[in-house]
Amino acid sequence: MKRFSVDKLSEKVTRRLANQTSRRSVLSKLGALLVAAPVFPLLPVQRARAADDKITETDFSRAAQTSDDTACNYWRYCGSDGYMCSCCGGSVNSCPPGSQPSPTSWIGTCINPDDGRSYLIAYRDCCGSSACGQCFCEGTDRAMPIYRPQANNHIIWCFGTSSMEYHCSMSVLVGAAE
Amino acid sequence: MKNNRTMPNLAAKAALAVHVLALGGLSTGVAHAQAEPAKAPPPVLESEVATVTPLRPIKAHDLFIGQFDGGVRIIDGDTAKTLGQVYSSRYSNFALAPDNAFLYVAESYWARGNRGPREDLLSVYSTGKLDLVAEIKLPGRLISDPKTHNFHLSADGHYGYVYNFQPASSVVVVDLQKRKVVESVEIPGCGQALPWGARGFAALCADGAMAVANVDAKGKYSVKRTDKFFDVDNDPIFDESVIDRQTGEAFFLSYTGLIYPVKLGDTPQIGQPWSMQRAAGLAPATTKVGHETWRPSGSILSTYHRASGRLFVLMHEGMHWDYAKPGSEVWVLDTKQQKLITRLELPMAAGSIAVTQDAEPVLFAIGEGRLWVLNPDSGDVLRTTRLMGASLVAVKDF
Repeated sequence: MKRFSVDKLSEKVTRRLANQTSRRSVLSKLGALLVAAPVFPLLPVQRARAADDKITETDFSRAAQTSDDTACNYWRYCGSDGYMCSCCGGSVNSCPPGSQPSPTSWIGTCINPDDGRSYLIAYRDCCGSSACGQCFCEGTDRAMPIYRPQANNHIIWCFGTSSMEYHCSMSVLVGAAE
Repeated sequence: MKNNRTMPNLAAKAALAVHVLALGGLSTGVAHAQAEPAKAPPPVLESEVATVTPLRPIKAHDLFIGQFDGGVRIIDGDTAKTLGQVYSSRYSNFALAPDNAFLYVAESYWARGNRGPREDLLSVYSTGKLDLVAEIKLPGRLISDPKTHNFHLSADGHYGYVYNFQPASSVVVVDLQKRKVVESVEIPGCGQALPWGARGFAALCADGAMAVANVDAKGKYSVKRTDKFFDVDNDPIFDESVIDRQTGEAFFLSYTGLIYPVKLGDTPQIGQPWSMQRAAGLAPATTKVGHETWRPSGSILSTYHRASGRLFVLMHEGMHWDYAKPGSEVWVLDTKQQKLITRLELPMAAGSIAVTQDAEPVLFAIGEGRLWVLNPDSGDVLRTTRLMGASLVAVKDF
């Protein structure tokens, strides 16, 4: 199957940045763009996998379910880390009252066991309120070390919000990955 | 004020009660006195002046522990008792100077807790009294779960390297003698700071290469990159791999248990990776789904004893991508012979380990609410104490 063109575009942008950018100004502008323009919530997105690799099932996906988003084996949590917003007064795609969604995120690719398809999931932190403390889940499928930040779940992804205080994490469905 | 008024009343009542009890005791004492002469009453206890316990010099078996909610605690491995603690913000990093004179804490604050103007700084504590002796303002730093290589010192302790991500990637170089920021060095596409030499540092990159930063004759940094040398998509290198800043020696450990021996430098020497599992007489771990075998995992999952060349790695039996699970064993490897020396079974699953650097080292393991002090040869438990997790660990001379 062909991949979304937006996916290709974002990959190109990211690769170009990674390979060619060395001037602070350009990256700073990108940072400012990120912070100022939540209309591009997927930048910087680099697919969790190399371009022509097919996403294969994992041990997490084999045991995943689609009905209970307060359990850590919920399919979208394959690359999550932190408190799940569904247990904090929010949901997989909305922040609990009293917190703000960050326009930036880290990205995972999870398999939905109902249709067998791979989907891009944006793990967006809700920020501003103190730590939720409920439903701590750490899904580590294709989660990357800190030197690959776009797929790292240890960074506090509260860039672009008025507070860097971490509250919980959403798992927003971006689209099919293939 | 209210408390001050009530306290004397309480004290008076308590004194009266003690007096009554003493009289009661006297009546039984009288009969007893017929048998032997009455003893003189014990002297009145002297009044005290509250003071601060001095910290003894740092010893080889002392463990520095970063706590998740802030604070860097020092625990004596020979007694498992706490010696003292310095304050730090949440998500802080720390490093001990090579001469053990200072403890550096990289941390971040907001004027009103969760909001208001932000300040990033390097707080300098003396290890004599654990008192704050200086603050160095930083242009920024990454806020994340603490990672060892997010803040480092050069081998001689002259420079500090603070990893910054806003979200552009850079390393803030701090002159710790002049106590001021020298330069922010951009490392696009790469992250963290792995020190080597007098002023150099390296960083692993998102594409499987490594960036190398070094200064020219004028002291200005430039950055170059190596070729890609590891499969970042399928078998990344742990960002908590061991780096010996004194020698530039690194043991890059991959999720499947490959060890890349690397000598950091202006032209890094990247050796052939070898499999931990093969060294232990097992088949190498693969990335295949359903392949259950012994794999490296944990938080601060490896530690190195420089003098003997032994690498200690937390291991668990599980699947690929389970790299964050606590380990139930520590594998001890001879890095020169690339062989397994022994496998130590832990009393409880542990997330982090640290070995001391002296000739008779102890091995610390932290997990499930306890700190274990172990014999690194036999795995025997020497002592234990309660401890709520560790975000970072450090020992003297490493």
